[in-house]
Amino acid sequence: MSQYQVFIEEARDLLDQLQRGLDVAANDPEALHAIFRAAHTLKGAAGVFGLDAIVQFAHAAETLLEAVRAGEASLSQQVVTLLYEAHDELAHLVDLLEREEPLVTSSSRVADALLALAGKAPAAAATHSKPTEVTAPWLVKVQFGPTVMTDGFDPVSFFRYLERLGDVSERTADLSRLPEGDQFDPETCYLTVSARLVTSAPQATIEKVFEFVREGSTISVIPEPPPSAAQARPEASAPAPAASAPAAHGHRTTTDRPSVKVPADRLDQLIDLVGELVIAGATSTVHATRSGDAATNEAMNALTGLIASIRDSALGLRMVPIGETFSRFQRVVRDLSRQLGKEVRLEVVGGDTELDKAVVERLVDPLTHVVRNSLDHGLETVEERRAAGKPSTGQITLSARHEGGSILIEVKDDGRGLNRKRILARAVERGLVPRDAQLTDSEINDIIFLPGFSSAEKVTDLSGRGVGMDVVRQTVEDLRGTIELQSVEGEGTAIRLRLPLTLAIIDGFVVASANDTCILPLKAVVECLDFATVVESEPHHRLRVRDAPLPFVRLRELFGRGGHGGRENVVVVQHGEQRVGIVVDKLLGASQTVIKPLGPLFHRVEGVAGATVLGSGDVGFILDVGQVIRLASGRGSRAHA
Amino acid sequence: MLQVSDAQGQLTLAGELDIYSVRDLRAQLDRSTRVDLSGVETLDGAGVQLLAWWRAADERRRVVNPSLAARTACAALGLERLLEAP
Repeated sequence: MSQYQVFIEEARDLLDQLQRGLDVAANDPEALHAIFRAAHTLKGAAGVFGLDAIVQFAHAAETLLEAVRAGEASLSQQVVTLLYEAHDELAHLVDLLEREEPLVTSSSRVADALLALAGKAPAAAATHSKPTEVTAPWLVKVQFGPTVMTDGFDPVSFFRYLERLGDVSERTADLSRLPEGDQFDPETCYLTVSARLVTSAPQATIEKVFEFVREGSTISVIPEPPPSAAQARPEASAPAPAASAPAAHGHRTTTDRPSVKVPADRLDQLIDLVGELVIAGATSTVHATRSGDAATNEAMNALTGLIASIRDSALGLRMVPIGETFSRFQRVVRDLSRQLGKEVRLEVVGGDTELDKAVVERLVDPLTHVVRNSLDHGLETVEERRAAGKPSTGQITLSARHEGGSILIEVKDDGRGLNRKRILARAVERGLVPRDAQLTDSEINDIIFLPGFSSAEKVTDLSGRGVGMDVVRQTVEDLRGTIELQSVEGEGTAIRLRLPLTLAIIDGFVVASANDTCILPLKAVVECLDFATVVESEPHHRLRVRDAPLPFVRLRELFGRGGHGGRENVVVVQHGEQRVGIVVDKLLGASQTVIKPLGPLFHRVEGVAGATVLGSGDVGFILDVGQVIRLASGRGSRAHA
Repeated sequence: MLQVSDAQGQLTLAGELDIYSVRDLRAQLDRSTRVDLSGVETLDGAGVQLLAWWRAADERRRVVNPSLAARTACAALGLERLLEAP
């Protein structure tokens, strides 16, 4: 373990805070203080370890943030973007530190730009004028180059920085280069600004203020010609604008809850033990009931209640609000929309909805993909939106809410919606759908999730290479969730992910077949029927339920058990749009089930998702309904790794 | 992010009038004769320049209710006159 391990962990925490602060900075003025604290603490911690490269960088960020807090700079998009870059650079340095590689900054541009925006040009540092020093008047004239603003610089900030060197007066802007009418490009800089500066700083220092825009701009700094006696200049006081300084009070945001750090494996161990406790409790209840002793039963009831509470609290420890994950998307959307030249606003709803950390972690990638898809394919360009009579800024809404025992996450955009005709045409072209197929809208929507389908007319480097939505669906289904899509052409698309709150416990439906006890997720169970009354064709594995044919699979056969179970039952299960009957010997009823991961030996067993220990002490297999359906439909020939 | 609301020839702006929003705003400016800057939290050179271009095209156009940020930015470039009635 690296000697810097403690620092690395703390730095990552601080960088997380920094990022989270930046994500919400636009809406939450308090975030600025959190960002500042993070940068400041990081600088201090890096200083303790003598990590100069990190100190320098954090210092640059801190300096800019200080200027923002003092009202000397504003938290503009430009500043936020730069701070994001600083965050990435710092994270990069921390990664290098962890890999025990030399701390080399990939570029000093970001640090320099941070300082420049803070009004502290690195080269011009330490030249604050003192009133006692000899001052001289200068005439400063800057004809800004056309690309200055698109290069990320702001003429305003240069002239405000000039105020730090001395008294600035008689500012004038020459607008003669501004083209008229349509010739005017709002992102091209046509400004020429001049001012009189009384300062003790030497000419070189004044010139250095404009160093970053020297290329393409014409900068002249000349001593003011001595005034003729007749027109002695009234000493105009600089119109130093009173900056509104948001008081840097130490108020903490409510999201700043105190927390204790616990290694994840200890938490997992605890949850594992609680799982054992639940099982042991169930076993004891069985014995207590059997004994018929009233006092034992009463004690057992109290214990069962406590166990349930402990189970909920333990699982609660792993519950995290999804908002932290959602807020990462602010950045994804921000960066991507700029890249794509689209205007997008991301709205987050229900960020405080909680779900299992393990689910959240595995959700990040698919969710990122869905959001990217919305941005890339769903939302139109500004021009297209205008032409369609929509506001030029597109909207993506990320929302989360609890619904029953699951969490519903929705990614909604107000873009162009799915073009079903085109999707169908493409699917036919790729041989995914027969030419004469009559598909419903929702069946066409589902094509999106087929492997090897991509309908983007323009393939960008962001998404739409034909991989993606099928992988997204797979991941969601691996989490025992479902995904569905709704779309209205011209109005937008909504993708809904429904996921279990936790991976550790499911509401199960217990069935028995031969000597095997199996658990089906309760929410997948549609109905239970008597096999003998619904079987239509044993050799074709076909049932007839309410006049509709239904394929079935027999658990005995699935697990390679022989024999016959006498009177058999059918459990009809549904997965997505598909239904299948599972034939079992006995129905044992609903039960909460603690999922235990299977050993590697069982990883290749098809149709089995996990195992559990039953109240009786026996092992039960948790069936993967999706796989069982594929098996029953005769398509599930591949072994599941 | 710049919010624009349009009412009877007056555009009321709120948020960030900067290099990222000028292109969009420009398209909406044509029909207006008054721009209200009371809600502008950030104004940069690109924003100032856009206002200057817009005012220059028609002498009846007015910029009203500048916020502190708007005044500060205009003052930094010596363009306070943009905010005054001629």
